[in-house]
Amino acid sequence: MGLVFRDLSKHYGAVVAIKKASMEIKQGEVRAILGGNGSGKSTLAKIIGGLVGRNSGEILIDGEPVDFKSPKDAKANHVIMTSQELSLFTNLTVEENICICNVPKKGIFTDRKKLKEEARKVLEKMNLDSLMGTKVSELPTNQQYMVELAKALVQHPKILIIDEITSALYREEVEIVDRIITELKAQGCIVLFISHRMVELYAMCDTVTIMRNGETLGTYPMAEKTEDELLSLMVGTKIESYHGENKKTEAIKRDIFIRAPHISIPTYGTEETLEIGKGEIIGIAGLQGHGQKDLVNALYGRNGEIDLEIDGKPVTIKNAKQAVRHGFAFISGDREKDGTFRERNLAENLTAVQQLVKHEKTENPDDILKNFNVRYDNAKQIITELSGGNQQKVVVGRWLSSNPRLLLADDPTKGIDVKARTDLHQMFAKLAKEGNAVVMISSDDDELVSITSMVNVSRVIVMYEGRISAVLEGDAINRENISAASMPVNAVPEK
Amino acid sequence: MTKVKKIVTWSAFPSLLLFIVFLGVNAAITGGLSTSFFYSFFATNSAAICVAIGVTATILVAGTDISLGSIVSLVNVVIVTLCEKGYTVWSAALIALACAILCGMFNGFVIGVLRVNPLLTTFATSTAFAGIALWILPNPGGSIDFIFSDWYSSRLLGIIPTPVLLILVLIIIWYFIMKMPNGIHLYALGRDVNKAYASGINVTAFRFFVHTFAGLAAGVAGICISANTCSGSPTIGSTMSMNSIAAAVIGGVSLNGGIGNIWGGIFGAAFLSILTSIVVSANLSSILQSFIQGLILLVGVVFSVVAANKEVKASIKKLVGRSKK
Amino acid sequence: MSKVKKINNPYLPAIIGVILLLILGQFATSGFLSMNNISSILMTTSILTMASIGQAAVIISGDSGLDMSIGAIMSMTALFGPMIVLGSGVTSLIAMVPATILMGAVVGLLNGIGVQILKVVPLVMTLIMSNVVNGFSILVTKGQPSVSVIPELQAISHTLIGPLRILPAIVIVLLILLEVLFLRKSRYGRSLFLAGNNVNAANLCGINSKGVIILAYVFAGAIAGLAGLMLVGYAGTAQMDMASEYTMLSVAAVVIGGTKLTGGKGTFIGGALGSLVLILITTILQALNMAAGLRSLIQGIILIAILIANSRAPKLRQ
Repeated sequence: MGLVFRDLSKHYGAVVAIKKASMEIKQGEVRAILGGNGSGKSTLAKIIGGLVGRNSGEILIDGEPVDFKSPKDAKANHVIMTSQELSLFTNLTVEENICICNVPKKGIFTDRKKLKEEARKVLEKMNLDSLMGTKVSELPTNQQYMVELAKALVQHPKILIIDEITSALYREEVEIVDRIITELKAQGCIVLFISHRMVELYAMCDTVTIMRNGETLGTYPMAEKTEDELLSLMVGTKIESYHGENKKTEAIKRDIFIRAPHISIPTYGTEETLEIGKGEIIGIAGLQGHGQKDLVNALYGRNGEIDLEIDGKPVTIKNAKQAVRHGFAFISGDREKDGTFRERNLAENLTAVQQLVKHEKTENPDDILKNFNVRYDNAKQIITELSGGNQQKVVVGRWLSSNPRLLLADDPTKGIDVKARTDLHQMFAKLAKEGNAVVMISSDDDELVSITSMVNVSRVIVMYEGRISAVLEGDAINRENISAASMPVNAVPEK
Repeated sequence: MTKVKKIVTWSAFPSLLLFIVFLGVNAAITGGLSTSFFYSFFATNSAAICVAIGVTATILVAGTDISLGSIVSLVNVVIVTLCEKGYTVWSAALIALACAILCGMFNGFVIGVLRVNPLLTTFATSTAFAGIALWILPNPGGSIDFIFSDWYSSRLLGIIPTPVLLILVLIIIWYFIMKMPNGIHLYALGRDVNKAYASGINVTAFRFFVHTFAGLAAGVAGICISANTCSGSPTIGSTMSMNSIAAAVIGGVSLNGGIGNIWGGIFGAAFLSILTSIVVSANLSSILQSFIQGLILLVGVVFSVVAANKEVKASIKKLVGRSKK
Repeated sequence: MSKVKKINNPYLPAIIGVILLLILGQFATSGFLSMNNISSILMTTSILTMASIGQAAVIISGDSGLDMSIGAIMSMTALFGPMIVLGSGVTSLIAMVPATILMGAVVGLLNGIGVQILKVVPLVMTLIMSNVVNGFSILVTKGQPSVSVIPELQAISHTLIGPLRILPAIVIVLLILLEVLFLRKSRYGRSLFLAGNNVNAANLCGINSKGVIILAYVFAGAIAGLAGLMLVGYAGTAQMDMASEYTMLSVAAVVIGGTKLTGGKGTFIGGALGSLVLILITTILQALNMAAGLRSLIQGIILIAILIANSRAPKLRQ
């Protein structure tokens, strides 16, 4: 009985998201799914929720094999998922959003009265009935997440997937979620709970399944494993949990290159400071969506004007053009959205910054391409004819050939193969060794460990809920410390 | 107090206000309002209002339809041609209406099922539909039995004129749909296609439906305009597509979808119509008229688009809230 | 390898179309390939080519860019251009060219500001602008356009060599110059491709996409302005709204020439080939005594077919 899946696999093109994941969950069980970035938790949730198709494997509910073709299909079987990305429509009211998947009807028409009643009932349960009648666009993020949960509850879930929605909640809201999950459990509902907050997992879950690199590694009763043991399982080596006390002081001497006293993190409404040294590589770690992107974007002037001090001189950066003129470069890992010009050829993709913005002469495109180990036929090829890794090398080539002084990179090696990845690391290290600086986000902790070890001056900054939760240097830069700082204990904020 | 706030922040309110103000201006120029003015106003402009209703439906789901004017022309020439061939006006009108719905369904099929951009699709189909109209009736001419015009100028119970009745039919059909859960789903789809899909909403069916409805609205508009003029012209609707989109935008319907309602389209179209009659009755030379109209259209649309920007709207809301306290 | 590339040539459908249409034309009507007929086909193609150059620039600029005011701008300058009289005929002609370009550019600038700064959808913005421009034309000419077109301007219809008259020669030179020096080689032209292909990436690179896209509308307006002058020189008389059909035809020509309506890609020469295809179709249909409506229906069907073939959005489910 309950929910079973066997040997689930899913790949997006060449990127494997899940391989051979298997799990068995009993009725009335609350199961935590624990894993780092890219471990496949969210993809797994989306497959069960019918949002994403699977490549192989089977799902059984109460012993019956099921194959959901669409979210609608899944909902009809009372498999409901709440998503980190929120499924709410900001132009509709709270009660319309809550009931949208199953609008109460009188005859064929919407029963507005009953719709309000149903919404009120569930909102009262969550102490949120004051939200009735407001448009979702007017709610703060944390309340939107609560509405997202309410929307799932009215659909009478038999299997409920909660994907990271608690990450934006305050303590009293988390307590409400806890109470609701207990009620669901009593009704025999299966809850899959994905969260990075250990406290919540211990408070709410019965069992935990560990995922790493798309595989399910094992399932344990929550009570039998300590936090350190779970983290060790998740990372693959033994670690001690990070309690914030061993935040190291800056031991390595560095020449200050850029000072950024006010970096705003709009997602969390916080502000951070950063000093970047000459020849330094700064790795930025943390679980997805904790303000890392905001930090890098802000430095490039993408979150509005930013005041910096470059080589001791005050500089205001208003837009990308100014950033480029001051020697900044920005490499995004989202190649399709921010990187490549898909309809254009290699030469055009390469020379965009240097020729069109900096108005400088470039080397022969062929020389650059060879320099960056790009596998290509000729420089007039359309960029999409290359493999993903080579496309990214072209984008990197575009920026590095413009001789930047500060390279900002947002997960630049996402979705490319190992060889291309090491090539890029070497290029970054070379840039830093020439007296420039690199600030790089990565969702892969190992990558940060390895790239920071390639230069003498380096740090890893770990972010948690919009703030820098740890600054690691030297020997302290390892997977274990990064993982631990990404999920600090007792870190649920008070309102 | 909250009621006042609700009305003032209603997306169609600015267009309603504009309509009323300019109705007043018109009354001042022509020396008062009379019932006969309203009857002739609706007789002349109900076609524009119908098309605006249709286009609003498509804009609400973040689409658009610029082929409606061509469909209006097509309906007009079909009615005239069939009448000339000896069909009764009523069967001619019904056949023409069916053609309009078919045109709408074709748009809906290409946009919904084949997933082609609505703007480009209807741009192409508008050429095709206009071509068919021109093919059937190369030159303006022909006449329609005056029973049609009599019917059009008659009044139900002596009060409600036929054109208003026809608009009401469209409104009722629309409300019939909107009162179903579909109403909520339609607005959801207009805001975010991917989330709508994730919420189990049938995106294809909705797109098909709104374009079919728009076809129907254009068909009704074609009937109105044919009954009003009682003659045929293959280009009679050519300017209506653009004016209807402008009307919707002025009526507070967001071109990004999900915001606004058909009243916005209706009041927007009514406002543009009253504007035309003011320009006409202000004794401006005909030379000046089309320029002024174009200019007002431009200002209206630009103003509406800029005003729909969130920041501006929020500050207005605050102002209203403060003054009422 | 190079053979494969030839087959992938985006002009290929248009070139095949031209050849097929020429054969078809010759079969359908006698004297289709006569010097006279070819010469007049080249004339009309030249004017449409000009319109399509402007349209192509706007379509390349991406963000569902379309310029629906091209016909109105052409009509406007066709009316106003001949009204410029400065001393002798030659000096008048010299004044007409920059004046019409400037007129068109101003309208284009307004379009660009509306689209990029006020964020009105391009189609709506340019459609309304075409209304304003038409109204303006009526206002200034008082609804009675001047009829005198100076002989110096009409001279563009004079024969140069064989079937080639002066206008097509000018347009061919202009086309090649614009294609090579403006679109492909200039910093602006290259920025235009990048901004049209991927606004995010272009902005990230520091390209001022907003400015680049606005300039595309200005360019389209300017070129349309010049095209209007050519049209009136060829027609010899000016009428209200004489170029309105060029809006629609220019879009079709650009699409047939292999330019994607999604932006970031395209050529002016493709638009010229597309223009030739359309003019050939029109000429043949006219020679067959086919009605104007049927011609427009066929154009519409061709457009829909092209859209279905290459502009479908991806499925919602991954």
